[in-house]
Amino acid sequence: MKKILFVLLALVGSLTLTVNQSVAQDQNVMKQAMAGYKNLTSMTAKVTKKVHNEMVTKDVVTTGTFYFKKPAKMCISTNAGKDKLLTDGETFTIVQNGKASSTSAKGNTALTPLITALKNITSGKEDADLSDVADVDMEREGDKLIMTITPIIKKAADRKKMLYQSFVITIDQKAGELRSVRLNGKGKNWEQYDFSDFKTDAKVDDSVFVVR
Amino acid sequence: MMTRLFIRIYQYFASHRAVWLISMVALLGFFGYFSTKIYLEEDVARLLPSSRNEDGSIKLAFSNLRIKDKTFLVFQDKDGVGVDSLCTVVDDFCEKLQARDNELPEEQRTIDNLFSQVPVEDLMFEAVDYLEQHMPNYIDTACYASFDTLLTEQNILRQLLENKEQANTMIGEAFPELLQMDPIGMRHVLLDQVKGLLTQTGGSYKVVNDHLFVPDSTVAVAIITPRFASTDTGNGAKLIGWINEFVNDFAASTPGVKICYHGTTANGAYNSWTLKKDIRNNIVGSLIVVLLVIFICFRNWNTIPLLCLPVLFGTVFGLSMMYFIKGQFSLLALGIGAIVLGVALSYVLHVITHYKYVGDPIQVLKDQVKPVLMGCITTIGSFLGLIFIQTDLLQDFGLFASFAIVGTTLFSLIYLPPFFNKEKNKTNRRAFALIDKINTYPIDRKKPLLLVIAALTMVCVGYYVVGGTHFDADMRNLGYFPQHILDSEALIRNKTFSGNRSQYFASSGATMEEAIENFGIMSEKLDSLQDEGLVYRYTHTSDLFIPKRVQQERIDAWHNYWTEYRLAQVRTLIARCAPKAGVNAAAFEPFFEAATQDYEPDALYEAGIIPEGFVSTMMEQTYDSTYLCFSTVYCELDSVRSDSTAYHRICDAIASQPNLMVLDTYYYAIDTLRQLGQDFDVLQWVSMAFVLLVLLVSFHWNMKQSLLSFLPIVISWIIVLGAMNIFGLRFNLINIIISTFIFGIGVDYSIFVMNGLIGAPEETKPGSNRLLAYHKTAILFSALALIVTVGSMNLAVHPAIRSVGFATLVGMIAAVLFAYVVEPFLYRVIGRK
Repeated sequence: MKKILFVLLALVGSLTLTVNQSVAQDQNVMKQAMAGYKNLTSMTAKVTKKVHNEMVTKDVVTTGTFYFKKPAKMCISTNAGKDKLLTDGETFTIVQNGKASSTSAKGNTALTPLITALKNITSGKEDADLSDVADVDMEREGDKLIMTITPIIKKAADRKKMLYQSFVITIDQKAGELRSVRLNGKGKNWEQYDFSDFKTDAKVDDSVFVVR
Repeated sequence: MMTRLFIRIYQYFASHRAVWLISMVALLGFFGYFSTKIYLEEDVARLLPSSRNEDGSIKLAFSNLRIKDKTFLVFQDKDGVGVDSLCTVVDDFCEKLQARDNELPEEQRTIDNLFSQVPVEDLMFEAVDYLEQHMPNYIDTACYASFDTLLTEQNILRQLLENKEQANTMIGEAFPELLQMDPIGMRHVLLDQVKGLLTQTGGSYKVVNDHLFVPDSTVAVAIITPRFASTDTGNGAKLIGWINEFVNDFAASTPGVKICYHGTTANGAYNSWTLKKDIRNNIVGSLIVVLLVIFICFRNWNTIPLLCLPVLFGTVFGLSMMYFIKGQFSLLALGIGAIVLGVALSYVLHVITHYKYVGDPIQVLKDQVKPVLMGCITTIGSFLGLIFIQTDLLQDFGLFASFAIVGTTLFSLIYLPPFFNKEKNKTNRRAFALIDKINTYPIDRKKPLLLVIAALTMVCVGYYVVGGTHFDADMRNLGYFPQHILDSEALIRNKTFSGNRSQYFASSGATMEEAIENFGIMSEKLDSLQDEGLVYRYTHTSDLFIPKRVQQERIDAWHNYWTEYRLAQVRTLIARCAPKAGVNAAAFEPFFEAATQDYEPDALYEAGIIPEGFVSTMMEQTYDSTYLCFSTVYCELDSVRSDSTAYHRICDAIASQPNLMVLDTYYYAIDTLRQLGQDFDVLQWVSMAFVLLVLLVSFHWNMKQSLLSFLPIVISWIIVLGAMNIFGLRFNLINIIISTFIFGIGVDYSIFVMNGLIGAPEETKPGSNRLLAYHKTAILFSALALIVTVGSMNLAVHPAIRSVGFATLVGMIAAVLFAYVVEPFLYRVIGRK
């Protein structure tokens, strides 16, 4: 569950990140790249979820849709709607095979480090200092802008609780679109969400954000 | 001879005033100083019995248990506020309480641990990490036979498929290494092994939103482990004071949540407050009234100081002797000790009253030394009898009472007479005329009164013969419990009631490892009792906290099992099955690393993984550094407390073993009270025989005088026993003290009256015997003081003090009536014959 929550968190972070242009080194590049999202009110995209487990020979691939509606409603629906991930910015709800469970970012020790990192990034401060909570690395591969965030966890006990060692956000600079969010889990496991076919200001019914 | 000695001392001091004054001040200073050094315990917990081995040696004194000192904070959802709101209130309350404690310097803080949250997620990560490092330590050697059945192609294929399926579940994502370490399915065997532990740890509570809740989720609980014992009511009062303050604050801010609390710290604080209030308001108040009456009658300004000085000396002498012998003393015993001071005051009254009449210190000593010393010796005899009762508090009280009486008596006869000034000897003529009128009234010749006394005596004797003596075994009845604490206890009891009886049992040891080892013996016992159907279930604490010796055996077994041959066999099977299952064979390398790596035994209770507040419900180091490992045992609910119930049979089976015990004071109290009953019977007869012997010696083996002095003592005591039956009252560990007191005061009155009867010429007309009149006046003042003081105890709030009041009052009135009426009547009647 929490793995998927991080995807959403990463999305929140990355989307808001583009609007707030907060990473010092490449903020202008990021700003330009994501300028298209700045004034949108709603959005949809196709999502391909790929789960890689070191133990399993074949990655598990599912598809679905990503929905966004201002101010912060988001939903990733996969597996023909049986699995959903929703957030209103504070509370996260996961539906797995029709069963829903919720968690709050507040007080969740496993989420705290990444949330802290994201909050600092998305704080809107031009000089946001992440050095205490995360290492942020930006690199470019052709048109791709790749941001790797690695939380800094000082306590060994807290490190054990870290489900993910880092997450990677890829943005197509040329198209000005978010391409993927990848969460590097324990060992050699990872989970990646690829986004395509963005439709901005698309009609998004409120019912997609409702858990039945 | 003694009379001559005291007269000589008086004459010496009279001619050497400086020596008298300096020696008196020095002695007061010396004993006064050491009396202030004594540590006063403030709780009835001192009465808690000890669990003992069969040879009588103490296994554990319950007052040393830490677990009993926990305070339970109870948060009840009154208006359906819901679990989330309840958790918020719990967190806010605990945060404020902890913050208040943290404001104090480290050494003054009261809270050792405030257990309000169980961070399940954190716990899980820590536990899995720990398990990875110590996996073989938790595999019972019996499991290896099952492991053999796992090493087949069919099983490993099935297991690899299962691992693949679980890889994308929450657990698989959070702990992939667990699946990679277990390609053969060892976890299924281990789960069977720890099933008992998983289902039975945690008792009657459950965890919701990381908080402790009762099963219906309407009540949340937080547990405070204090830094002090519940007997330390100073710190207890501080903590309970804060809790009360916050409870009131939250009642105003969050009316939907009712907050209450219970535990021995609260009990100790309220008992201490109530005891102090009762001593201050009732006992001290009544003493002031009595002293005022005496002051009005005696008129001299120095009468009250002269009355108090010997009692003060007796008290500091008694306390300092207790300091030299034991170093500590119970405040409760001191409260009841007010009675002893009443006896002590009686001797002083005899000396001073006699002086008021005769106005000559030497004549006072001539008339008073013998009866006062006789009274002193017999009273000490009865108080010393308490030393033979196996309860610390009663032994302490017996010693203190004896020393206090000795101190007061000697001061009254040595240092008091030189204070007397013939020229300033004043009395309230009207009051003394009235007293003389009462004394000379021929009450012992009034047949209707004698008949009423005879009838009442017969009724009481009858009730005693039929009913015998009864003891109240429930020591909770000795404590004071405010209603809100009882309500809190009842709420948790009702909310967690499972239909069975549950009770803490414990194994003990000089180290925690030894205690855990001994838990194994308890487990075997409980298993066999479970087979018999007596035990329904119990918490297998030693399955969680495994002895290091056993861990080493398991580590050896692990390495012995995973031979190169077996590992090669597993490797081959994985390689063969992995493609069919769609998994990577290389991913299971952690299994082979785990099979061959070195492991060390480790103490889980010291690993800091399980919350301290939770560990302390499973094991502890007591205040006297004994280590205990607990188990909650569930059995049939016994509606009637009887030796034949399942519970008692379990207790008998466990408690008979060395290093095993049941943490039930009632169970041991039964044995203590049985012993007490036997001791008490012996005590009565030994004391009576002692008193009779003293009387016989003192009255020069005159049987008539000795028996006449002795009879009122016996009868007044039987009246007390009969009256207790009539009013349905029972003796307890506190009011048993009154027996010795009534005995002592009855002896005194009887001796003084007999001394008056035989020490003066034959009465020519009623009231012509002046010595008897002097003694009767002193008895009147003494009885007034004691009856008012003891009567005030009936108005006390604290049950222990109140329980003393009734029996003492009855005994006092009986002793006075027999001394005033029956003894002179019998002396006259028998004397005639």
